[in-house]
Amino acid sequence: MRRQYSSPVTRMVLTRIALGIGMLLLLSLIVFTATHALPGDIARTMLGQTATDEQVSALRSQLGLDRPLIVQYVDWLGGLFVGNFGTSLASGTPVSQLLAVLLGNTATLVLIAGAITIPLGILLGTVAARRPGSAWDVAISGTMQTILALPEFVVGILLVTVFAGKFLRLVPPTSPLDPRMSAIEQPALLILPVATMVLIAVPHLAESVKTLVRDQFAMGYTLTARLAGISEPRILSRYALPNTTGPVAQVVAITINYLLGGAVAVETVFSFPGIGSELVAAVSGRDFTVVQVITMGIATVMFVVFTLADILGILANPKLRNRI
Amino acid sequence: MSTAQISNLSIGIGVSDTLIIDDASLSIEPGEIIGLVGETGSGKSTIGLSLLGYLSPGLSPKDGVVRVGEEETINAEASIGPAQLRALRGKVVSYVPQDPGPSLNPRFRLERTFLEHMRAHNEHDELVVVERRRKLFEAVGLPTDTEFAKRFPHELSGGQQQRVAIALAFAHSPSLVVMDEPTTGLDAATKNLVVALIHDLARTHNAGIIFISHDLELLIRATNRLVVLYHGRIVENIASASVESAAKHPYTQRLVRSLTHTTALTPIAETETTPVLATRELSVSYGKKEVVQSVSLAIAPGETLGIVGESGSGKTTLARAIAGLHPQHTGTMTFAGDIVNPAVARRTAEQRQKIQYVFQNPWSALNPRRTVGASAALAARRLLGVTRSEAQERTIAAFQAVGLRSDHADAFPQRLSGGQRQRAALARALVSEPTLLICDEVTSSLDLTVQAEIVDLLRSLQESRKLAMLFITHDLNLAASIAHRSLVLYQGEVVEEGPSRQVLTAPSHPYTIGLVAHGNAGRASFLESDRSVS
Amino acid sequence: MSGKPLSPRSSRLQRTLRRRAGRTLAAVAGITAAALLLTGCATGSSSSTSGGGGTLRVGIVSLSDADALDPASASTTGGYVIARQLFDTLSEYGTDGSWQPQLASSITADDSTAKVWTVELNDATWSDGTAVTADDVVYTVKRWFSEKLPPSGSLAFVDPDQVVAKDDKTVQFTLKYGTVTFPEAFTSPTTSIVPTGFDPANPIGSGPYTLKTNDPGVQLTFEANTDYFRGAPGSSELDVISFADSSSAVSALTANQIDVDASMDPTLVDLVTGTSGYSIYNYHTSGTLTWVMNTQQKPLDDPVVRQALMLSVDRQALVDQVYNGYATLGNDIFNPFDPMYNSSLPQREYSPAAAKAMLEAAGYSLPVTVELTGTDNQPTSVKQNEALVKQAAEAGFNIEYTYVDSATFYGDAYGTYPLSLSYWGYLGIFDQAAFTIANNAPYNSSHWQNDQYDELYNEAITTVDDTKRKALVAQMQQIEYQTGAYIVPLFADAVIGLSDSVTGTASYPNSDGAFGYNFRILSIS
Repeated sequence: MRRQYSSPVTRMVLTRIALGIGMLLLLSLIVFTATHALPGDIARTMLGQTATDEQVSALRSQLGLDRPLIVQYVDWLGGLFVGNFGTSLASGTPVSQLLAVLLGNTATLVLIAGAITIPLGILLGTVAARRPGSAWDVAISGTMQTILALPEFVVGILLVTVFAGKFLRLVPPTSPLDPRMSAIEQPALLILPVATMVLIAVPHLAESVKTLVRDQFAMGYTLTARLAGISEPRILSRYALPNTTGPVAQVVAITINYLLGGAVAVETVFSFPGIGSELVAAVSGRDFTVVQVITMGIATVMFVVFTLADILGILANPKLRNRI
Repeated sequence: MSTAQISNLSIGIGVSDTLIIDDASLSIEPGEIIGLVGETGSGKSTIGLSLLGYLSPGLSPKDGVVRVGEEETINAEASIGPAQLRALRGKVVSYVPQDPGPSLNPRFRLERTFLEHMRAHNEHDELVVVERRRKLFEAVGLPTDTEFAKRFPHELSGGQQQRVAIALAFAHSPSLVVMDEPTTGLDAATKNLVVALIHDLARTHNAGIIFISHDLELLIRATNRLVVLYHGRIVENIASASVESAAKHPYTQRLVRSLTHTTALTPIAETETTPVLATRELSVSYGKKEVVQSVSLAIAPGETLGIVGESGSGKTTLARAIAGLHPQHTGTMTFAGDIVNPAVARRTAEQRQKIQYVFQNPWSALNPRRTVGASAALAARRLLGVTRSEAQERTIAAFQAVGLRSDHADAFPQRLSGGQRQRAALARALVSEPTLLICDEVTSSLDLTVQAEIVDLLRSLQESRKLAMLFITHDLNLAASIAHRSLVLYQGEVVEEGPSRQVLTAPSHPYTIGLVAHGNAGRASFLESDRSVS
Repeated sequence: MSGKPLSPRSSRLQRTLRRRAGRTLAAVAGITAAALLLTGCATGSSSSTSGGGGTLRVGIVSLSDADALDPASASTTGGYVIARQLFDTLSEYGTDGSWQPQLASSITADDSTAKVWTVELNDATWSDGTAVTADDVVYTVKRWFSEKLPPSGSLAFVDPDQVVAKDDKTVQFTLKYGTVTFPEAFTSPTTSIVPTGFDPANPIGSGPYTLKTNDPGVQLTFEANTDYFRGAPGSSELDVISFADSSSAVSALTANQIDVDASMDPTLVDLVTGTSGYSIYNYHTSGTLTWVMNTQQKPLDDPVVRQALMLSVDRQALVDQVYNGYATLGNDIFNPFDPMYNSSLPQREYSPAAAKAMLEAAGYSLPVTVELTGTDNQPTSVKQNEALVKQAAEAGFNIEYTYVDSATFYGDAYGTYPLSLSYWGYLGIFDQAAFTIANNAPYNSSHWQNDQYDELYNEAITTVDDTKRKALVAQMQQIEYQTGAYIVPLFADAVIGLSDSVTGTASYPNSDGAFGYNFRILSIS
């Protein structure tokens, strides 16, 4: 029995990993090509308007950028496989060292935002789904639709204005984390970035969950349960919600993706030192090695998240779980 | 005192004046079985559900009262509290849903579902619950062992699902049971078993039963009284036995006429050509269990092969294996002379295009979030690789070929009637111009008259397109009316094979003899009768 | 030739975040600022958390991964900040804009040809406790040339083999050719003096601070060098914190997250002055955003068109609208803080009618189309370019403005734009000329070339007599004024946001950055 249960999952995971590696390889080629196709290069960017051609070519050669692209690509890819992420062209420090603190900051931000967003979004979506057209539904959906209609940065600004403006100076308006401490030790600086991310991510999640739960309420078995006298809370908790596990896992994965993307904008707005703001800076500074590592890292995380969501979806569905 | 009483009930849509139910009154006495018959949309289900105090979203009571025992379940003047309804539902009045598959929670094993229904009215004693389940499962002809109880709904056949639904409805010995098309999709033997069961349960529990069906012949046999609904009004309420003589309303008379026109089976010429599809010693398994054993068959171009069997006989599994949807099988299969891969994903594009499958439930092929036309156009683009505009043209052509208007293509499946939906599913299958069409119980969830139309349609399509068809059904009569040849499947084995008419009129295998004898003999071919009606 | 390399670049990588996230984020910044302004005024109390000399927190837009610890490679704001805190230069531009000896106690020419220069050193020590010697200076200079570091490009007149230590504290430079402006060439942070055997990974310097932590692109922290030869700095610790844009930095300042906002956008001044406990410190500088006209591209290859365009700029409007009044008028020649500046030239006025007439007289059919390329190398760049488009339209020009990101702007196409906006200044007149227009200057993106100008330049650079030299410079600037390739519309003020707890401010009109990045002068209470 056990064997029968685990085999499709195992096979799916193995297929996924193979597919993922292929996808990441392809992505690495795209990322590499795209970053190198950007106009301007790091040598000129570093030397600036008083650069002479001689200095530029000397710097390019020093940075190894004068080698054929294919050699640079293979070198870089080979490095990735042995866990060597390369050296930041701009700072000369190993990328892993450069990103260590920033990664911790962003991870803290995304994890806290996720820990609030995911339960809150599922809760709000479920409450709104229970009775279409009820006061709860109208209030929640109305609020969510309003926030969805706002451009993301406006959410951040509204929060700053209300909570860090001149009247209510409750929290710091910007978040220049001190890298000498971990992010979690500077909770005041996390409040607004986390709140912004939660506010921009919750509506998507809540609206999706609402639709999914409502779909379950339209299924025959919820009517059967209702007509058998089973209580509404039980129909929700034992029938509708468990049957949404698979699709909700997908939506949660999309939400995590969304939070990672949101981190780029939020970190920039709040001067929050993290992977997102670093990515923006590295693209602007044409620090290819840093751009490549961050984008590949994000892609890998997303791949893992989506695969986990798929596995959860299979485990939660007896039909798929049993399929031979 | 009556078991239930419907008094001057009118139900409308929202705040509009449109009435779904118009001034209906009906009383149900203990132990009485009432047949409720009418066209799709006549309000049969709405009346049935009103007894449970349930109205579909958007509907509201305009007038009248519904009582079960002394308790009101609907009152146009006052709303009934949810606690009061909950106490009645499942305990005093219960419900057997029309479509048993989706009505069972896919995550629950049967024992869990049964437990849920028992617990809903405070029966927590596990021994009592298990004992009750065994008793009821036995009563509806299901295995009573623990292993069966540990199955998930998807591991049951359609007939088994239906029996589980009936067993659940009697969990608390209710005084009233509303059964919405409980015999749909069941083979003749099971159907009779269910009818006997209903009689037995009605007698032993002294329960009133509302039996909703479009199968008039069955209702005449199975019920005490017949209530005919027409456009939301009760137009007939007479003793079932006297229907044929006492029916007054023109609609009822028309229904009765369709019963009495007995015509011989249409002879269909037998064909002898090289096969479109052939299998040799095809055996299909679920896990370690062999469900279909060593089936060899062949279908010639333009020929229809009927596969007849009761639920659980393996007929759907066989069809799915041929369609490539169930790759775990042994033996060989050829299509137009070429070996085909067991898995549909590994078949050639042409094979995928040329073999099409139409399901019992048209929802399986139609995405509820797409218009039916878009579903068909998508199939055309995927399977034929044609441009968007050409797919559009082919879709329109296919819709016209199945007797739909081109504007039906713009409708979402839920906006279509059952018959239209099945036609749309057929159009979706035809759009890729198949040479083999597998029809799996395509008519069994349809009203009598619509069934006839679809069968007619299939026959004409076959003639005009030289389609080979694999027609799966539990109804031997139906097979005889459309299939040139039929084979009878019993417990995964072919027990009878030959020209359909011969199988029906001169069966050799004891099982087939039983099947024929089991009550279908008196039934007319509705194909002919339908023509006379229209 | 002398040179002070690279200060214009200070704002390049700082703008990275704004650039990438583009206008949206710029819009965010603006709206944030407006929103903050609207929330009115409130009680703002600022207090420093640390005692003693205190910790001075400076916000800057912005640090970057490219901030170098090696001063000779510094090309970014962060790089300059590091160089100024950790090291000393031989000379500096002082609070009045003229050069002063710094690590040197004196810099003198030995004869009237300005070919041999003697540098005497102050008694300074490296942070490892050893003394700063003449040998270290010789080592530093030779290192620039042997490692082909950027100062070697701008110090063409220095012969590294002719730099010798006369004794422990005396260095003698024998130049390739006479150069009057020799002392000014050693004001740039890139010419900071490093100890013999310098290792950038462990930057030992003689400066007012030592480096405590360095998180590239995020934060730099420094500790006071209490033995600093010019006296201990005003704060015992210095934190330099990176912000994505000007408005974030302003928010942080008025929320007491920083004490000094070193990168103010002049249009955000009201946000600071509207908050009690905070104020603005500003002073005029020689820094400018100047339009470079390419003399090899039509139509600006024609001096008439260049003249017409110079008349098409409403300088006062730029000062008032783009710079919120925090700028002074420019007259298409560089550096009013240089004593040689030609102030006798009439101020060029906005004369669209005259410009039109000139163009038509020269046979042009109006409008004359000119492509303008710009990036956001300063907070005011985009607005300044957009203003030009409107102003010049009145004068018969059709300016087609293209915005590109900074890396693209300074990429391979740099030097080919017909018209572009560059950040220059903080250079003496001679250095500016040497960098951009004289004698096939290395960074001549205008490709302007004038033999008469070169002759005057070559004569002036060796003329020791101030009066004579001033007369020559006046002629040089007259030529630029009439036929030049640079529109110098204005000189931007340094605008710095300060907490009232910060004291010790001073102006550095000829140095890039807030207080020329001399944060040692500031005290925090």
